[in-house]
Amino acid sequence: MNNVVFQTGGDWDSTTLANNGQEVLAAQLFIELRAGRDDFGDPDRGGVFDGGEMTAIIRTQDDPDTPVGIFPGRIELTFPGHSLQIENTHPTFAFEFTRVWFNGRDVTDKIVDLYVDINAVDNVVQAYVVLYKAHWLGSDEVATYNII
Amino acid sequence: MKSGNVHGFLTLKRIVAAGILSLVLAAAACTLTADAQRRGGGSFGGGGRSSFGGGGGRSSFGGGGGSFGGSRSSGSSFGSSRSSSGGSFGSSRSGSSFGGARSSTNSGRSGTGSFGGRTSSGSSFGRTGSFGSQGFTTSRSINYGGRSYTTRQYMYGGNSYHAIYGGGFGDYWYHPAWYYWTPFHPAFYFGAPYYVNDAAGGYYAPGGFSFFRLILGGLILLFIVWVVFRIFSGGGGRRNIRYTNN
Repeated sequence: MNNVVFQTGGDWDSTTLANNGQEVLAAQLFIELRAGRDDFGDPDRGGVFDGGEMTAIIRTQDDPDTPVGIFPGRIELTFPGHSLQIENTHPTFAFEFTRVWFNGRDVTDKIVDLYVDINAVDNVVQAYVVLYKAHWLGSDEVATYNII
Repeated sequence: MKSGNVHGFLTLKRIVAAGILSLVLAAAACTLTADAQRRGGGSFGGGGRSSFGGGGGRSSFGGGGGSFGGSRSSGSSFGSSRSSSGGSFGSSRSGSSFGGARSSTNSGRSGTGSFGGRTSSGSSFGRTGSFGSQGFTTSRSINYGGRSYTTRQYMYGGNSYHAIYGGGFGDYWYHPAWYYWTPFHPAFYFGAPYYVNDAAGGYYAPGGFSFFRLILGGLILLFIVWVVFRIFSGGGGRRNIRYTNN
């Protein structure tokens, strides 16, 4: 079971990655989650409970061609102004056991997209979260939160 | 001669004994019959005459209740002619047990009885004062809408007014309940009573049907339907999704 912690202050110098308390020298951290969609692929309420797919890997500097899976386990990502926690402790990484917290709130049933790509090789840093916000009286909202 | 006297004495003795025995038996029979009549029940395992259905007309008086034990008569207890003619079912006495003369008598007795033994002069209902609200000191008849109405008292703001009760839902607003304010109650669609100032001192008349309230009620109902639809359609229509960037 992995317990991955990612932290960044907004530049490469302040970016660290650790697993079970041990620093990991990584080339890339990549997480992509797609959920919260109806039969036509349009955003819908329900989040993870609507089904979906997720990829969560780490490419180490030693062997960048071989992706290493993060789950089953837990990953905490801390960005300037935002935080993400993703957990899936199912032994076979069953998608429906995924739980997501964004800025401390459980958004498991609201998540539509989650994308984190910290790629030191290509110097790409991107992270965003898309949530489905159902409103009673107003129109429902698909909110995209650009994390970094 | 002597033996003839003895024989005659014995014969007389037998006759007297038989007579006494007959009297005893007759007295016993009368006692049993009277007792049976008093109890209204049949005999238990008795002889042929007093048993179930036996004795023709006599047994009908001894009926009324079911008998236990079989009769010694040769006929069947059920369905024989004697039983049917004198059985408990359909006889006058047994019929009177259900709503017949005896029941009426009982009802009469019940009607004359009293509840409790309270003889004080206080109220039996635990209240004092006059019945209902204060009585009107005056009575008015008002022609309203082509009809003549006798007014009733209407208390409003601590004052007593004459009021017309037309018999419709407009009257409900004289004493409004909270649910009259909801479009689910017919009174919602009627206006409040309004005051008519006439030369005789004025009176209140019930409000009529209000088209404004009809439109308002329709809007409220539509709103409720819309809210329910949104709740059960997954919290919102997907046709109006806003995409925002934060």
